Amino acid sequence: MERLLEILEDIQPDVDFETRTDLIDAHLLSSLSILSLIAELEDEFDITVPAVEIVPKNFNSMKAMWDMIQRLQEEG
Amino acid sequence: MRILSLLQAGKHSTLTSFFSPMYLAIFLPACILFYAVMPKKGKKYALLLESLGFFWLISGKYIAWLLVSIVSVWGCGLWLGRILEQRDAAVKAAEKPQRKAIKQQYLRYTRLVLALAALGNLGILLVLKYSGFFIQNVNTVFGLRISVPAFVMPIGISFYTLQAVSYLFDVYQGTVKADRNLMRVALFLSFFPQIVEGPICRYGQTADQLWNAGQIRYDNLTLGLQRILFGLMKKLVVADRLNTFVEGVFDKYWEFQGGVIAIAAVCYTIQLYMDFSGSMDAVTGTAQIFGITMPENFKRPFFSRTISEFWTRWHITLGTWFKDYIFYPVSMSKPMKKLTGAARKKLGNHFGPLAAGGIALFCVWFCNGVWHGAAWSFIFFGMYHFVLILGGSLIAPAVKKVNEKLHLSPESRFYCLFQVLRTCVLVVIGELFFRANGLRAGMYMFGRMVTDFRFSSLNAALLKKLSIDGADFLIVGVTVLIVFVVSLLNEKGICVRESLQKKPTPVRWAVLYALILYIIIFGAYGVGYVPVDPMYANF
Amino acid sequence: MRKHILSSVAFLLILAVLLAAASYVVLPKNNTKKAGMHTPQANGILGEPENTIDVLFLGNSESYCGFVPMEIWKEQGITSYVCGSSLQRLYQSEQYLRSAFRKQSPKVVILETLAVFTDYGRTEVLPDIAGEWIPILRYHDRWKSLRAEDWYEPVRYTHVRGDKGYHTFHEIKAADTTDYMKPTEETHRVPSKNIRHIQNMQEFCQEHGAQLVLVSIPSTTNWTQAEHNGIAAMAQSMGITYLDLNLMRDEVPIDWEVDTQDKGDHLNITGARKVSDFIGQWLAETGLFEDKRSWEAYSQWNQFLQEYLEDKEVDRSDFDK
Repeated sequence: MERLLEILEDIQPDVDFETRTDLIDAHLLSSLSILSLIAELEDEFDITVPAVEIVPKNFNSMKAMWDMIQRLQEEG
Repeated sequence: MRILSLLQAGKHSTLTSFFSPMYLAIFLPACILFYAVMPKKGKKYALLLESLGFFWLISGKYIAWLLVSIVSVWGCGLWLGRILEQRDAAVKAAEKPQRKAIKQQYLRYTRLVLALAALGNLGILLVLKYSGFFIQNVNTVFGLRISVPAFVMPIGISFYTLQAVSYLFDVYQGTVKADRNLMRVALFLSFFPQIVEGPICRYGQTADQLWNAGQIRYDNLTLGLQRILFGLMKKLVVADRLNTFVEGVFDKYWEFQGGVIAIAAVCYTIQLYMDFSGSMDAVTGTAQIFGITMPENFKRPFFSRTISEFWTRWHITLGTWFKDYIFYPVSMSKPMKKLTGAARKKLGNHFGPLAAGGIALFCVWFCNGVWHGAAWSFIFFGMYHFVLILGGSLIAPAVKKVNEKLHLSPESRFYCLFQVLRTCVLVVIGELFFRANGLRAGMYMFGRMVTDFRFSSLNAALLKKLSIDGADFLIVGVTVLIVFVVSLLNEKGICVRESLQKKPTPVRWAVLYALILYIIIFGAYGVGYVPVDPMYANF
Repeated sequence: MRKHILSSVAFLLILAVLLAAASYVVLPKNNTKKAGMHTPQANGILGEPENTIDVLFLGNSESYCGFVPMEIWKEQGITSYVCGSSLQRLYQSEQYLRSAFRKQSPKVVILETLAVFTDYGRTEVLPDIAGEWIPILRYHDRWKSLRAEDWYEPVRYTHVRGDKGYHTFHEIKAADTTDYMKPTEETHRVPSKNIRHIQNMQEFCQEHGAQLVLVSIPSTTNWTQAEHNGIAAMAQSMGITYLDLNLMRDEVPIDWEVDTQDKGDHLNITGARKVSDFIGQWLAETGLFEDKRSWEAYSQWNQFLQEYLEDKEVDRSDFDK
């Protein structure tokens, strides 16, 4: 979780990632910054994020992202 | 047969406007009544019948294209579904190490089917919509004289084709299950209010809702009608009232000063928003009467702080369609991921992904441009927004540094307001090219705006020539203000319609009466006005 | 359920009252363009004193460019009025007919036949009928020119027009007569909707002691033998008198070099006089009318006649277009 927060703050500073649950809906993460984010996540957590997973539901909050990462790690 | 000829299929083009007397006074009430008297089990079929009937009344024999799409999408969806089932069974039976290989094997197969089905459907659209433009350009470039075919494009094809492709994609990705029921697929693609101008719905959003639509409820009926009424105000009072002015300036653009052109561009942007979002209010309102929730197509776009945000709030269902079915599939494809990996090593984590992102973005905006129409001005429109969005990302780090140096807080009110205004200006410039009669005219108008930004010719005589006067502008201004206030409240999380619903009856009724009379008195209709076709129905 | 129906009915009732009130305010208080009346030329008949009009003309632009009531007055002392409007559909002709008979009792109603071939969509009628019942829908645009008096003044149609609905045109643009009225066996069919309208008008006239007559005004671009055949067949089957002036070149000697304002589309003043002289004579021969030129009650007609004879440039400020 800590590492995820670091990545997020690196991409988009000045956002309260820990509490917000509307990151996509409130336009805090644009689709281009999602690309940076996914590239980082794939490196950092050794996962592959398929296009299907890129839905607001999975990126609206830090917890949702974390859940997705863990799910993808399990699936291998 | 006599009844059929009485109905004059294919001749009811006025039905495409949800604000025509034909739709509001005849078609919609008839549909509601027919739907209401149908027994519970028959309601879905009533909706389907009404939807196909609607399309048939407007397009006549061209309904064949819609039927082809429905049947092919249904069939290919099942085909894809079968393959996926077989894959899952094979994966389950296999040992873990082999699973990946089996998945790969099937992936190729499903991709082939998807490509075949999607291209087949898009192919109809491509041929009907773009062959003329394509051949014209081939002729110019190679000096040929191939005759340019003049296909008749059925209304709504640009919208329902995207829905059809999205369904196939969703089945392929496994987000929805292939539907065995041809009727449900048909209703999903053809639901009558949505087929003319969208919103472009996903199977997961509306298919089941439509299929399970129940009894008409009184509160849905009144809320739906209120929403239609609000849309009616946007369209009749603002959009149609501005029409003569916008049309006059854009059609004879060379006669006007840059300042007047700028006003016309602003007016056009307002007109387009009021027309399109007004129509969406009518669509969503109509759907609500039947108890169906449509995805919203607009979310107060003019409060956006960046162009990229603007496009997540304007014609939302088209934007998300492109994002889900072009942007991410392209940028997350294997070669693009490789590119991202390589680029990140060299350019760092901000600029690295922009290489692949830029390519994907280019695809999105090229498609967005041509989706609006086969013309260079639309392609330019797409490229304009592509450059703005990509450029915005490229300079983002630099802007951040500058802001830090100047001690500007990006969250300060002043800075937000500046961003919002800047975005509006950029949008208006884009819409200028969008509306101009061809790219050349757009360039000329833009040039005029930059080099000759004067208003001195704007006097009563000029306005009279454009069939508009000060009183018209006043009414437009007041109505825009009403819409602005409602939007502002919505932005703050207050739903005006819901809070109105909670008010005591006299207050509620007074507001409604005021709105009805306001529309009747200040609407631009009747003697002296030419009815304006819904603007997005032709795309 | 019951509650909902009751409140819906109450809502609509109050709405109806509000609409009626608003309608009253915007209703033109006189039959002039300045007061907000649409098509003031045709609606000029509303201002004519009761039971003073002998003959009513209906039709589209052909009618108001071809029938000159003042010419007929000058020659025969018969009073007439042209309730013609541009692109008039027959449902509108029927509306004009009914509205004219509220105050007048003409003995002859003449319908110009070009309008008989104008088909229209059913939906086109809807706003028109709605406007008839709920005037605010028709006159809503008057918010721009509303005066304080509009809120309380009663409706009084007092404006009497000197042109009696005729539109004067002096322009001359010669017509090409190559294919004009070439003989043919072909028959243009009258749209069934319009046959019904003519039946309605015929019945209405009979009930009100009037006679319906069909007249085709000469036009090289709008009229053919096939159209004549269509109208002639219909008129015969319905027992309606039909005069096609296109075929009466001796009685109505139109000179296509000088008598048309727009290459044979419409007549100009000289052409219209020829048509009106013939029609006036035909009306006189019916024996239905008395010559009122010397009657005291019709002295205003003679005043207007003086203006007409001066043949001045027309003041179009009280015109629609």
